[in-house]
Amino acid sequence: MKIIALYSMKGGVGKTAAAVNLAYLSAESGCKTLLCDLDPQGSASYYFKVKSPGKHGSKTLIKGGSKIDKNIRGSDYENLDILPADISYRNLDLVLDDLKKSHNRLKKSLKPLKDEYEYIILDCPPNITLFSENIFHTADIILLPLIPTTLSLLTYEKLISFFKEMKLDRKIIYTFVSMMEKRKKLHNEIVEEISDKKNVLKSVIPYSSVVENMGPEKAPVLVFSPRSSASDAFRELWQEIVKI
Amino acid sequence: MTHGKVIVFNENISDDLFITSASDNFSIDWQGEKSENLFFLDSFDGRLFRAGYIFVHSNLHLKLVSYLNTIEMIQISWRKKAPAAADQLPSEIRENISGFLGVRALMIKLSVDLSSKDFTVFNADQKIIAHGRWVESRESGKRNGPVKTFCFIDPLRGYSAEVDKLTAGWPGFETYPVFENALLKLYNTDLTDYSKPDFKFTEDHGMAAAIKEILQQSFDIMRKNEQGIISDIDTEFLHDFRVSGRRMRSVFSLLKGVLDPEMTAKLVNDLKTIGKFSGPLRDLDVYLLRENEYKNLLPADWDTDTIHTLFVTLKKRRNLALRNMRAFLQSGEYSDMTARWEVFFENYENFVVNDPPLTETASALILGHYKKVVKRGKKLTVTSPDEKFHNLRIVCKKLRYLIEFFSSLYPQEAVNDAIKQLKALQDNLGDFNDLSVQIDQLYAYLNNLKSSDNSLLIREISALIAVLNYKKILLRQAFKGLFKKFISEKNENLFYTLFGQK
Repeated sequence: MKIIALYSMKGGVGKTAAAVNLAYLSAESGCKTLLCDLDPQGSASYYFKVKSPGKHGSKTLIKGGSKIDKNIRGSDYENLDILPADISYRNLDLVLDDLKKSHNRLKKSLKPLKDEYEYIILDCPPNITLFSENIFHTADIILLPLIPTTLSLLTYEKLISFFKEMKLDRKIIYTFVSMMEKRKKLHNEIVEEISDKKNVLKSVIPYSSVVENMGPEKAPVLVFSPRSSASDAFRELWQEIVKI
Repeated sequence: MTHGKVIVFNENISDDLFITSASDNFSIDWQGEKSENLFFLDSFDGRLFRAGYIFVHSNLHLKLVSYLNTIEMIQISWRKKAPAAADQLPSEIRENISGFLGVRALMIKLSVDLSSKDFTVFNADQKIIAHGRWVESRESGKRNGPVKTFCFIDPLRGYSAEVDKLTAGWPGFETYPVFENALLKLYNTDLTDYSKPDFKFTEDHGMAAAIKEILQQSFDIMRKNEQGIISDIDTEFLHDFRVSGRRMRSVFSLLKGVLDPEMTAKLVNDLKTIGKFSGPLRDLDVYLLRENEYKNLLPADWDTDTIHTLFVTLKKRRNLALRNMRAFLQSGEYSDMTARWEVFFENYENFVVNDPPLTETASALILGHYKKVVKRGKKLTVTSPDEKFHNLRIVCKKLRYLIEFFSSLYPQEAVNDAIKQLKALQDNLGDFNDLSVQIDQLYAYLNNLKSSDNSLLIREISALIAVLNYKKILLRQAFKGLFKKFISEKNENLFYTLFGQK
């Protein structure tokens, strides 16, 4: 089993769109896949029309095992299950604060699912907190969507510094260009600048209105617009990820 | 579909049920209609079912469902005709079931025509919560047979409770974990059931009515096996056919004086003719099934191809015997016989000349034969001639027939005990007789061989005769102990308590 976290401390960079479409591609390839919506906004759950079960929340997430198991929901697609988000996730840091060995809680929670799923994809909330540290300890791969702008580059560098400071393994961080607008000079310059760097994936997800349509369609782009450039880009990205 | 549940409705229900029960909380999307013929395959006596498997063939696939502990299934795309024996099975299925099936043929035990529509259930959020299939079924070939309806529902993970809300308002139904089990239940099919006679008598019956029942059931079983003998997919059909014939002959020889002697003579003659045509084929069937056993009896380093030549010859003889048997079953002679039997059953009362009380007569006959077994068995020693053992076997067989005909008149547990003791003795005598027949057959074969061409085969057949003869000696030695048990005071009391006074 591989755990892939779609993470950025900055919001609106295309994390959820990538998590939803990559999870769909993983399942479509025949791998049993679980998408964990860890963002209290619950956008990934919304795209799959899955609501949080009444009794699910930050406490059950942290308790893990059978508590999580009960709250997993089958998606409309074969091989793909969803652990929906709950608004109580906003308090995850408070819950974790009260516990011992609070850095490894998420890892422990998900451990019982490792036999069932080949891929677990985490859609993470945009912040850097104790819960984010849990994600860093849990994931095998951290995928950072990067809008080719100066500010985004800064968040990437901050993340690297944080890993250094916490003595975490930086090699698990991979980045890919997200929401690229080819007509923007700055976007092209930054893509050029970072393309040779280590752990930067080649696939580029274009800025596309079709991705925004995931809201009204309540489905991955790959389902309602499988021939769009965005769908092609997600397929390429998934191909790169499975080779990591 | 592998999970979920099968809902079998107690009455015929239309798919409108969904529309009325769906209300505002659920919606249903129907997919196209499909039709399929489903054939349940098993050996004549349901060996796969007893081992925990249901094996199904449809127009599209073979499916093996293991239902005993955990429900598992193997489904393989299959466009060919249904496999009829273990060696025709695809390896994934063969490795699971060939051990249970052995040499027995696979035959259709139930055939059902299905017309089904797949459906998807959505909740109020338009989220899929279950997939399912609505099925209308009817037993194949029964155009006017009842249509039975059931529904398979497979909730998506985490949505069982919501699906339960949908089905809560449905009229009477039972649920099953496996679709195939539900079908068997629905069509009241016991895969392990085969044409075993079941005689149920009470003291109110007269002997004449009992005889009719035994003959009629046996005759029906015989006729049921005819097609199986002609199509030659399993040697069991002929065996069953002959067992029924022998049972009928034993009725005439054991229960004399009840029926008109002239008619009885004609019917006995029919049974003899049937025996004459079926006997050689059965002997060869039994012989051919022994190839592996013979190979295993010979030293491991001897060439088994040599003994195989014996079986090639026997196989040719069997083909001829089968041809004769088929021709007989399809002949005017045979249809005249069956017509005579039909007339006999229809006008049965006209042929009854005496009707003694059932229990009293049966008990006297059983006890009389028990005494005969005891008297003859006591005279046997390790060195008695084969013929004496053979005669005792015949008396034991008669006793067994009598007990089985009339067992329903006596306390079941005690009768089963009596049969158990008798069976142990019969097994010994039966094996002894089988060995004698085999040795005679091997001798006959040996005498027809030309010594110059077949030195290896002569050596192997001679060795087999010696081994089989040694086995006979062991059975003679074992007989004494078994007989002692049979005439023990406990068993004697059992027979006298059940069937008469000391």
